[in-house]
Amino acid sequence: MLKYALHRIALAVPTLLIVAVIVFVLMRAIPGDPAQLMLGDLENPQALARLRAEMGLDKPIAVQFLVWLKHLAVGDLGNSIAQQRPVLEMLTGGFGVTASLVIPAVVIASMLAIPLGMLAAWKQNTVWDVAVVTGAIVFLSIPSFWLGLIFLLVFGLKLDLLPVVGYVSPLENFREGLRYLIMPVTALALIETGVLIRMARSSTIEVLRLEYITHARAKGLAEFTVAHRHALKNAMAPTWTMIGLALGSLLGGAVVTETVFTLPGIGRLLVDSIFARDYPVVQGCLLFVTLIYVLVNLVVDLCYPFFDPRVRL
Amino acid sequence: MRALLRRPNAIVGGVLLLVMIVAAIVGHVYTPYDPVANDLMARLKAPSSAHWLGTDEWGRDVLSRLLYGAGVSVSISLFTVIAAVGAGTLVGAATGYFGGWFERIAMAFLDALLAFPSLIMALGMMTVFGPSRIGVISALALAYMPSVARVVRGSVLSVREKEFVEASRVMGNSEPFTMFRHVLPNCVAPIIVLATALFGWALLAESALSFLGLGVPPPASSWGGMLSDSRNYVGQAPWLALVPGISISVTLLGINLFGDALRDQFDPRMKNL
Amino acid sequence: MNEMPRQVGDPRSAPTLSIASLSVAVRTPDKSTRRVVDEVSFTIDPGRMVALVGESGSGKTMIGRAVLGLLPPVARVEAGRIAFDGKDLARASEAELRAVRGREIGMVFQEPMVSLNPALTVGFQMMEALRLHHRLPAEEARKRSLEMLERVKILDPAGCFRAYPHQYSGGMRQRIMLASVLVMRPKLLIADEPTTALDALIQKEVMDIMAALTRDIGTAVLLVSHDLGMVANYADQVVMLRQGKVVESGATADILLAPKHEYTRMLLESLPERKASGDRRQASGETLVEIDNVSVEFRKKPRFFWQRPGVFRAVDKASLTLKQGETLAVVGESGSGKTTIGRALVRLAEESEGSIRFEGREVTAFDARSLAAYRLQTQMVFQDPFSSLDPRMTLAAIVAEGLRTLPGLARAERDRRAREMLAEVGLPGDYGDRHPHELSGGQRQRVSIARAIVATPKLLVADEPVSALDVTVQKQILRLFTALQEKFGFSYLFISHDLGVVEQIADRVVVMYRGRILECGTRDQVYDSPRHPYTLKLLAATPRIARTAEQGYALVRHAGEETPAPTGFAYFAGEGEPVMHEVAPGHVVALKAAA
Repeated sequence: MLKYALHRIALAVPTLLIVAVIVFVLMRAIPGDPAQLMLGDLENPQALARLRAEMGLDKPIAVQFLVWLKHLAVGDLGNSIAQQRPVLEMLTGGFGVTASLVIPAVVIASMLAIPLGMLAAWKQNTVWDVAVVTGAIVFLSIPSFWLGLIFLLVFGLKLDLLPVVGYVSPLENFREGLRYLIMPVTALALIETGVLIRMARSSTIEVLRLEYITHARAKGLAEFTVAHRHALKNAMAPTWTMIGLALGSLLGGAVVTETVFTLPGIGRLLVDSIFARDYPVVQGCLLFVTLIYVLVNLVVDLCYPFFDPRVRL
Repeated sequence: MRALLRRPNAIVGGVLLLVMIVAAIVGHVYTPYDPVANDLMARLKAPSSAHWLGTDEWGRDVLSRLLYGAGVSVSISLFTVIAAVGAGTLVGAATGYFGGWFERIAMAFLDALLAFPSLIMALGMMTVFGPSRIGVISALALAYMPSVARVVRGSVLSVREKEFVEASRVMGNSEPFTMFRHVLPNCVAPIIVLATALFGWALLAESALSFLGLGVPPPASSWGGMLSDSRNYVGQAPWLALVPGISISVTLLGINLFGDALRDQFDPRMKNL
Repeated sequence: MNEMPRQVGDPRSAPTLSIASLSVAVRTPDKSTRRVVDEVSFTIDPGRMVALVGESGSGKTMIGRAVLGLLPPVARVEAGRIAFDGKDLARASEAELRAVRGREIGMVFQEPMVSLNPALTVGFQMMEALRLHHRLPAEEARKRSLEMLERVKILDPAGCFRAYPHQYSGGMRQRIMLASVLVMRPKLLIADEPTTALDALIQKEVMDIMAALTRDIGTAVLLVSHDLGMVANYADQVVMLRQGKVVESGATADILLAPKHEYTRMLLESLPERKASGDRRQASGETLVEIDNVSVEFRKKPRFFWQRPGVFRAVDKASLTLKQGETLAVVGESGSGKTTIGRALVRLAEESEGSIRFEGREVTAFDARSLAAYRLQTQMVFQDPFSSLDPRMTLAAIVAEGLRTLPGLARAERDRRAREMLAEVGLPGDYGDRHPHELSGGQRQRVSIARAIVATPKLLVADEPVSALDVTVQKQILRLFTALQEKFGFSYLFISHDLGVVEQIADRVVVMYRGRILECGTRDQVYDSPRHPYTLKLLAATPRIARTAEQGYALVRHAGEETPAPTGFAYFAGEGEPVMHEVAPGHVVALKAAA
């Protein structure tokens, strides 16, 4: 198990490195002088010259990359042009908000999708199956930001039940925070449930086809026991990996949802800073989000042997 | 092919898609009103016989903008899919064929690309390109290309082990010939299924980008942009928010249904017995 | 029939299982129903072993499943009674069935790789039924399970208990499954093709254990199988099925050794049998292929990229010669290297040392042009009829592709020759325009053969060409091989694990084990006077039904005694380097210098 863990962790390193290269290349592809871009519209020749020397702009590009990487390694992502604060600070602030959006969404989606997906697979081609599958496909066809907008319209404006802008952290004030989060989380969760149901259903169908299920029945076990004791773990294996991937699409969905609900998360930070040409923040967001995504998938992969012992050894 | 059309998924999905595609084509050629013409006398009018879907804050006819927007969204999505599938197939087939160091480096690079959630990647690219059609297409194509490459690679690897491929080698056929004549044609099915899914993703992503203001620049009336504009008037003119959203949803539903039917058709094990 | 008479119950007591006019129907894709089991009746007395025998499509598996109510969703019992212990299982409720399953009736399945849950430990799965039905406390259940694991000859029962199924080989998993089912001491065991997926020697082991255990416990057995030889060896009674209907049933000795019904006779006649080794018309006696001390190594991909790749020797310094016009059979179990050696011959595998000479020329040193010419002379027929043909091509195109590298042939001419060859193998007329998915397994193998011979090669390597086919179809294909050889003068390298098939078709036989050649000689030499203990074990493991002089059949069990090795030597057993020793003209055995 330890070997597998080390192996998996070792694999993440080159990925992160290449990610860094991609972001670096992307940022350098923006037309304009790289140092000037980092300073914004400020007209300050001395600061410019200093930054240019710091970034090593007169040296070969590989060296520039290493310089940049070094800064990254110590957490120096530069300062936001718009707010004159360290980017890292802004990221960690925004991360809490985005996390409070994305984590409940993925948890709720999984808890709904797995039983529903398994139910649909167990009763394949019956009314239950058709209902679940149709529901899933309808939900996943709806853009999450539009659903959020509709919620805003109905619950926020027309019924005046829930607030339409702003954010309170649930850690500070749970009830209030909940009121701000319930609509965006629901919007995200419903869509993701649709996606996960299909995965859970298809992997359960695959499992049910296998002989150890018939064998379990041949022992005289009740259907429900066969389901949760034998089928669940094996069907979960591919679904679990999918949950990790779902997080990626949720992070993307969070970008737009935060914009709709005006939540101060990383997604909105990214969008706003693109408009504001606040390139240090753009860079920081890209790196941060990717890092989180890679780490989450790493954790997901490390838990995989729990579901499928064949990978352990 | 006939069996495919008999599936309920395919019928419903196909019909929805057809309506959408017809609307897109029509929208390019003819709309009841000029989609970009302002008519400040007719601002924010609810749906009526004159304007079937009402007007927006500039007095523009919503139905016309919808039709025109269909063309925009469809064409962008189509080009994105073509680019992503083209590039992805090339890369995927090459890794499956060459193997060795090339494969390892390519896979590492693809994995890194996949580490970016697609919308985030698109946003990053839009920073460089700026809002433009070509920018959106390139950004999304780059975001989806790795998925295609992965699928193609997996397909190539599995078909390559089949005995009829070995038979081709034993017969004396060269590797490239075997690849083009036997391996790739048998990989087409998963690519088609993925392409339909990609069309849906691209449509959704394009709407999201336009909604954020980073997609197709105004005054072009992409559906996402229409949704974004509607935000300020959501209380007064709810139809402005409902119409584009419903259109997007229905279109995506059509794509998903049709894509499902396609996938079930190609996968013999999923057939209803 | 068996070594020891089974413990049979009092003949006056009721049968354990009584099937009366059972019919099972399946829903077909076009919404109609089709009977796969049609009015089948038979009984199983206490302690007896009854075999359901038939080819594919006979419905035998469905009957086994129907007894426990485990039919697939598309199938259901249409009519009939399944009487067990005073109940009619066909009409029992789910709860009643569940009470019976696992406790009164146990079931063992075919595929050991998927019949044990990979996510749960062996011990957990073994105790499940015990705790469910007998409500035993964990300690007691564990004790009984360990006991049973010992009885199925698992070496480390406690370790096995804690381990996961994928850590064990196929044969061991079957034994584990037997143990977990028999620990409940059921009245009836349904064994659905329990050994089909296993090698011959392991098959014998598992069947012996199953027969002995069920005898000791007093469990009746319903054995579902297509293997006539195995059934004749172990079962008391046989029910012969064909397309859902019972053809004949009765004591094994009556049915299989003195068959009355036409179908049974036809099945038995299809079994491979030794033909007289007459002179081959076309054989010239010249050496066609010489394989000299060839080894083939495979690199094992390392799990972590910093490790060195491991090396696995599939073939280890093997030497053999093939004469023009003859059929040389390579026999062995899985992992013996028999397939690899064939692949090396057609250059699908690279040898890492040794030389391969074809008509005197060194194949391993061929340049591209000579290799292309060589390819035209040496072709291969593959094992799996379902993946050896490109599903997107027509049959004529598939066969015509074999002529692609022959210079100077126009498209039309290639097509013509292809169709000619298809007719030659029994697929004339417009078969050429069909696609592989429209054909049966046997027909597809014919196409495979046509493709291989269309350029009239000198040598054909056949890799288990009939293993995936029913016995009647098998017979046709073997006949086809022989006929083609008569007509065209092909030489065959025939690779197989089936000793019966080899006995029928081979002129000379090579026995392989773990990459080494253990014995080589003419068919008669190897089958009648085998020397190497491994060869003896292989022959003893597969009892056959052979025709006797009086137009009846007898169960032939190979009863060779071991001949001691020549002084100063022992038989080669896998360690060290072997020495090939000639025990008779043309008959060599692998020996090792005795320590």
